[in-house]
Amino acid sequence: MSRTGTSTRRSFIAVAGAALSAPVAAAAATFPAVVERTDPLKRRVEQLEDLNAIRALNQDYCRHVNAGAHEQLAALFDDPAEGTIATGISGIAADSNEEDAIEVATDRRTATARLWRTVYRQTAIGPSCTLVEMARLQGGGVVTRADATVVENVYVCRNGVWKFRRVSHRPA
Amino acid sequence: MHRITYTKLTPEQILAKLSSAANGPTSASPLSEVFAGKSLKIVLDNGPTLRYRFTDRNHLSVAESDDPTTVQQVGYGALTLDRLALFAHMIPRTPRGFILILDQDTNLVTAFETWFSGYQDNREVQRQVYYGYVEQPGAAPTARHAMTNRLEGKGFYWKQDNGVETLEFYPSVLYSNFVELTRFGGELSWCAPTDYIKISDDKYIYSRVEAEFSGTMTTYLLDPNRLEQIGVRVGFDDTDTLEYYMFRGHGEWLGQIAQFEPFGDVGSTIVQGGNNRAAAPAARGARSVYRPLKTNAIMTRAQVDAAIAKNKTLFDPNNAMAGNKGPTSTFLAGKEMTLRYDNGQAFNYRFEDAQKLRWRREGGGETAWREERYESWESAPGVIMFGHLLSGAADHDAFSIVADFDNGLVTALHGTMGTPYMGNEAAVKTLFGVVEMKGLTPPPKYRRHQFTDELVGRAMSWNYQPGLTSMHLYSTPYSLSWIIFLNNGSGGLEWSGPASYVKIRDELYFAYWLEEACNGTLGTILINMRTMRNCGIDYSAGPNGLRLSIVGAHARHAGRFNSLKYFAPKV
Repeated sequence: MSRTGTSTRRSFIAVAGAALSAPVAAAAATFPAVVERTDPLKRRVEQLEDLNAIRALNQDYCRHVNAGAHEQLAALFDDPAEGTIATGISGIAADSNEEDAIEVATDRRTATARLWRTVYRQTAIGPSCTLVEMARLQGGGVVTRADATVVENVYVCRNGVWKFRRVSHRPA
Repeated sequence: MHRITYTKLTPEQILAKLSSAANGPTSASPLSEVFAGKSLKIVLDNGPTLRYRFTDRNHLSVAESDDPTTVQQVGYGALTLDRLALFAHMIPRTPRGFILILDQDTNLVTAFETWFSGYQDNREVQRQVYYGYVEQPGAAPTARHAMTNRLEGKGFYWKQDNGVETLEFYPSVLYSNFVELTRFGGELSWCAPTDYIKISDDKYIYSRVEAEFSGTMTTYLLDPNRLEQIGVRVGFDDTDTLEYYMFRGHGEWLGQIAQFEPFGDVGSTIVQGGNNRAAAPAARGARSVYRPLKTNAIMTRAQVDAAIAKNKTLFDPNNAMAGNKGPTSTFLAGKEMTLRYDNGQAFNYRFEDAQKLRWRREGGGETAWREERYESWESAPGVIMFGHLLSGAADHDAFSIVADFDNGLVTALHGTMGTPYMGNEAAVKTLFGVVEMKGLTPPPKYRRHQFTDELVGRAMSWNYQPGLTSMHLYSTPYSLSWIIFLNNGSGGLEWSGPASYVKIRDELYFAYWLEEACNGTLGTILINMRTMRNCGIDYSAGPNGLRLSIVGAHARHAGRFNSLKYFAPKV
């Protein structure tokens, strides 16, 4: 079984590993933990860790899309080539929705999510004229619209770190 | 200024002309001795550390590193405003120099490193702004001067100690407007990329470079309360003569127009572009500059004729500036009339429907009617704006017309394509006249629409469609500036052109502007300041042919500068 993402791992260690020596804590962070299936409390903690890691990943995704941070966005993906911002998308509201659903596989190696988000899309204004030309020179000249969107994500956990395998959008 | 052919000076010519600058800037006012006998080490964030020894009020030595062999002796000049000092010097035998503003109370410094020959037009002064401090014993200060939008919207009249008078408007965080009352007679306004830096609530730095024109840089400290300035101007004028002088000036307050940023936004950063766009350019000396003659085709008459022969786009409803257009009027449909202008021209019209008219020129033996596509709007009851091409006319002529049927008056803007400068630049004449129509009260003999200066100094925002808003600044009786908003509502890029304003009725004005030394468009709008909307027609030509484009926008008042008195005839 794989573990959760880096930031979550740190918090896990902070809570559960505080009494461990530093080398032991480091080892615990490096090697996959053995799930004690008979320990429901531990399993519950791991589930929460996975969910928190995935939620943090989703937040990072929105943040990087909104900032246009292409490199940082690509780093969130298992295959960085998949981590691109679709043409026209200028932002995603990062607020979670009560209908959001995240499901982590029992082996904790993959997960899926269906998230209800507001996605902002920009359409270039045209045909060009002086004002449009000037607006484009300073990054404007676009119409932004907000679309209710279902974001469907597939995640993979490698070496204890959750990443996106795929992100897709469809109208809500 | 649009029409001055500034010499493309070579780097060698510039260096030769800068030789006298090594003596320091001249000044009509006595230079300050505030630094005489002192030494300063100025630490600039992400920039050089400058070591100064000031021999007297006119000579200093400067080193840009710890290497003693780099020490240079050079002339300088300094002026003070309260506890703030501005000094300037060049680096000998180079096109480089520095302008520094130093606060003697806080020891904070803003430094402009300046240089010529850094852009394809060598005469255009480039600058890099650094913030820092004068090194003192103890911990370095953490505060810094910073860019600001707190000057945005202000306007001043300035008179320098050498007699130069200007009006300067700051409607943007990237640009400013200036009217040269003495140098160029105060007819037109021009725009220049500008830095605005805050020192305190009542002390600011303003610095513009007349990009696309002479390339001259004007930098000054200003106190908006006491209306005082000290500054320096460096560059080459229209005779290629070096201007390198310091000045002390006194001002008059012209007013404050609106800012459109969200409350709390004080402009400490300028973010260009949408949320996924990069911020302002980061390369050394880079800035946002609108260079319309580099982005718009300059065409010959023959090229324009050929392009128009291939294509004319008339009243495309999808035009970007037509998003808020008013409804097409049916007022004229079925009517016949004659528009008789005071220059002797008269035109007979038959309006077949709401978008098709026939016209013929009265007299001159012309009997054939020509059919044209037209578009019209009823801006106020009985006031119709309409426009059309004059097919067959030699200069691809077009009319933009406002007819007041309640008063029997008409004003036409007669656009023609081509100027001595560009084949695709429009020219315009204003025609005043009367409407003759059956059932209409006989037209007046002497009364006419009139040119007006009632709009001068006023600023209005115009929203053409979501995502496309500009602001007009009716900067002089003969010019208009347009400012494009950044995403956060700050004023952004700006340009200006010749304009005129005709009063049709109270709160109803017929205006044009020429996008001169730009893309050559003639913009014509009827401004209704009761309904706060306009209707209008843009007339332009380019590689894609000729366009008559619908304009329609919603307005907001953005305030007014009290500037009219500066345009009165000299007595």
